[in-house]
Amino acid sequence: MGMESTEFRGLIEQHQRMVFSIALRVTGEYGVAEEVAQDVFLELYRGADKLEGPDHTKFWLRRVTVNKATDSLRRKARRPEAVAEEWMEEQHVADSAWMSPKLNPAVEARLEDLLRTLPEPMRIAVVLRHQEEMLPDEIAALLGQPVATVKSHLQRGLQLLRRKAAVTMKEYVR
Amino acid sequence: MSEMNRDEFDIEFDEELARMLPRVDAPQGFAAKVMAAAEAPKKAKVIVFPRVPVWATGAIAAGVIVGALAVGDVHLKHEQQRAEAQRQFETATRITDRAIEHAREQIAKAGVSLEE
Repeated sequence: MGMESTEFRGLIEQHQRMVFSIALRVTGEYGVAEEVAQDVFLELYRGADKLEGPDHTKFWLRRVTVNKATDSLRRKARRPEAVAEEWMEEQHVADSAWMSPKLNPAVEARLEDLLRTLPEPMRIAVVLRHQEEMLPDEIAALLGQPVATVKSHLQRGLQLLRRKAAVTMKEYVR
Repeated sequence: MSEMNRDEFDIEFDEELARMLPRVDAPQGFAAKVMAAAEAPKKAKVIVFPRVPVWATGAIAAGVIVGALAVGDVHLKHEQQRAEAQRQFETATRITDRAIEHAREQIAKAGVSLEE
């Protein structure tokens, strides 16, 4: 334990939005995300002397947040994977539904809900790619996965989101 | 929809996602809460027994003594019952031995041999 209070507070203020947002979008629950984020910073406080500079701190915070968020999901045994497989197999997409979500406020409003229904590995990849604007190789390094796996999760995650978005649009128009 | 349109859509969807997934604010007072949790000294667990009034202490002591006496009394009764049972068993054994002896004498007088 070798961190001054002011330094620690500075790190919290600098990174709390990032940590909380990752936790929120991975767990899908506000209260759980707050607990996860708090745990992440407490672990940072205890192990700060192992971190080597701002980039490493950011990398460490993202990785620990993802790990703690997925641990919390597993404890709750929430698995949307089975449902997701059904979506991948079914033909939900009508040509007329392939529209830009920009034109459809219903999709935008429901995007957080749709994201929550993605299987965990796809959801994590999508959040890191689109919320954190990380590149696939950066995500791969963070998660300790091959780049091809990350790309596959991203591709399948986006495909699934589009299909769900298309159905949402159809329902909205109906 | 043609492949080209779908590619355009993919790029657009990709860009839209980034726009629609901005970071969100942490809950209000989050930093203060974390600071408080980090700086809270780890308190040793102390077991605190509730204060017991003097009369209750006396009552508890009396209860313990009465209980001990009652247990002693029960034990004594058990011992007496055991000794009585032992006596009855020995008497019954003696009576049985005598009866067997008497039967042997009668058989011997009648000239019956039990050898075979």
